[in-house]
Amino acid sequence: MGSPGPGRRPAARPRRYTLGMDPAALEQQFAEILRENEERIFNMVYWHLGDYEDARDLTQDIFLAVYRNLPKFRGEARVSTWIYRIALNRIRRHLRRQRFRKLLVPLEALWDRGNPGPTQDPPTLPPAYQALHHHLRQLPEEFRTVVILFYFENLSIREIAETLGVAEGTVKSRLNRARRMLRERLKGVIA
Amino acid sequence: MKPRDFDQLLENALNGTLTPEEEQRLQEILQTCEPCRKEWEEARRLHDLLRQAPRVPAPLGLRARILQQVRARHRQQPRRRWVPALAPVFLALLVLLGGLWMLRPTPRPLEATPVTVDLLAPEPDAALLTSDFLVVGALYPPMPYELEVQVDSVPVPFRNTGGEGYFILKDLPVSPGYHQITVVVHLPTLKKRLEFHREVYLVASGGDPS
Repeated sequence: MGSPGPGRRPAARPRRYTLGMDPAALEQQFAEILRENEERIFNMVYWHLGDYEDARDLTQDIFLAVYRNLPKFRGEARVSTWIYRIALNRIRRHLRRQRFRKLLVPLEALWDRGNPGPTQDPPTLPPAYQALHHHLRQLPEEFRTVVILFYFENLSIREIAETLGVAEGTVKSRLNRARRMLRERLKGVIA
Repeated sequence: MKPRDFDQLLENALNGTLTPEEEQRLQEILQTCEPCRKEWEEARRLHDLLRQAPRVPAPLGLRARILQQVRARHRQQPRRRWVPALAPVFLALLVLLGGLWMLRPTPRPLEATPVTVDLLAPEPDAALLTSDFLVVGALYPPMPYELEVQVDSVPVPFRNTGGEGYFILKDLPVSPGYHQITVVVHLPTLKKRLEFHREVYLVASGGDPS
C-alpha cells in the first residue's frame, strides 16, 4: 500500500525582491511573479468562490494589491507565501462583502459595473466535483482554506501553517476535521 | 471496535507523514478490523477525489488585463505622488490650525465690562438733591468686589447697602454744587481695578445750592 500523501513539488528557493521604485524594474519583476503565480492563485480563488467571473475579478484585484505592495516586500517569507496571504485576505473580505451584497442585489443590477472584458465560458466540472465544490463552499472558512491549500495548491502542512500564521498542529486538526465533514456530506458521491 | 491508534494513523496516512512502522501497523489493523477498513476506504476515496481535482485554468487574457491595469497605474502615479508626499505637511497644518483654534482668545465680555456704575444723575447738568444722591452699580456675573469713592479726588466714607452683584452707596458726605465723583472698583477674582468718573450737580435738600 503506497502512502496516499501528495506528491510534492520540489521546494522553490526563496527569492528576494528588493526593489527600488524604478517603474520599469518593478513592472518586470511583477510580470515574472504574475506569470509564475497566476494559474494557481486563480485556481485557489475559484475553488473558494465557486464563480468564474468573480474569481477572475478577484484574482485581478489580488495581483494589483501584490503590485502595489511589491516595493515593500522584504523577502522575509517566500513570494508565494506572501501572495497566498494577500489572496486569502482578499478572499475573506470578498466573501464578507458578498454576504452583505446579497441584500443589495436589486440595486446592483441597476449599477453599471463597466466593461468586464472579454467573457469566457467557465469550465464545466464533472458531477462529482460539482458536488465537492458545493460542499466545500459550505465548510467554515478556516476548514475550506486548509483543504484548498493542501489538496489543490499542493502546499505541505508546514507551508500552510506558515501562510496562515498558525501552528502545524492547528493545520492538521483543521484538515482532519474538514475531511470528516466532507466525508459525511459526500457519502453518496464517494460510496 | 476500532483500535485506539487507528484515527491518528489514518490522519498521518492522509497527510503523507506515515513512518514505515506506522504504515505496517496500519496494514495490520486494516487486515483485522472491518469498520476500520470501511472508514479507510471512504477516507481514501475522498482523498483521491480531492487530490485529482481538476485545476481550473485562468481565463484567457487575464494576465494581459492585469498588466494593462498596472501600466495604467504607472501613468497615473506621477500625477498623484504629491498627495502622499504632502500628506505630513497637510497634517502638520491641520494640527497647527487646530491648536490655534483651541488657543484662540475667547470673547470674555465679562472681563471687558464686568461692572456698570451709574449715578442717579446721569446727565452732567441734572441737579440732584444732596439727600437723594446715590451711587449705584452692578456686576455681571456677581463676584466679590471692593470699592473706593472719591469726591473731587478726595476719598470719602460711604455705606453700601447692595449685595454681591450690585452696590448702592449712600450717606456720601457731599455738599451742594458741582462735584467730580470717582468710583474705583477692585475685582480680586479678575485681578482688575476699574475706575468710573461722573460729574454731578447737587442742590441742597432745602433749596438752591449756595
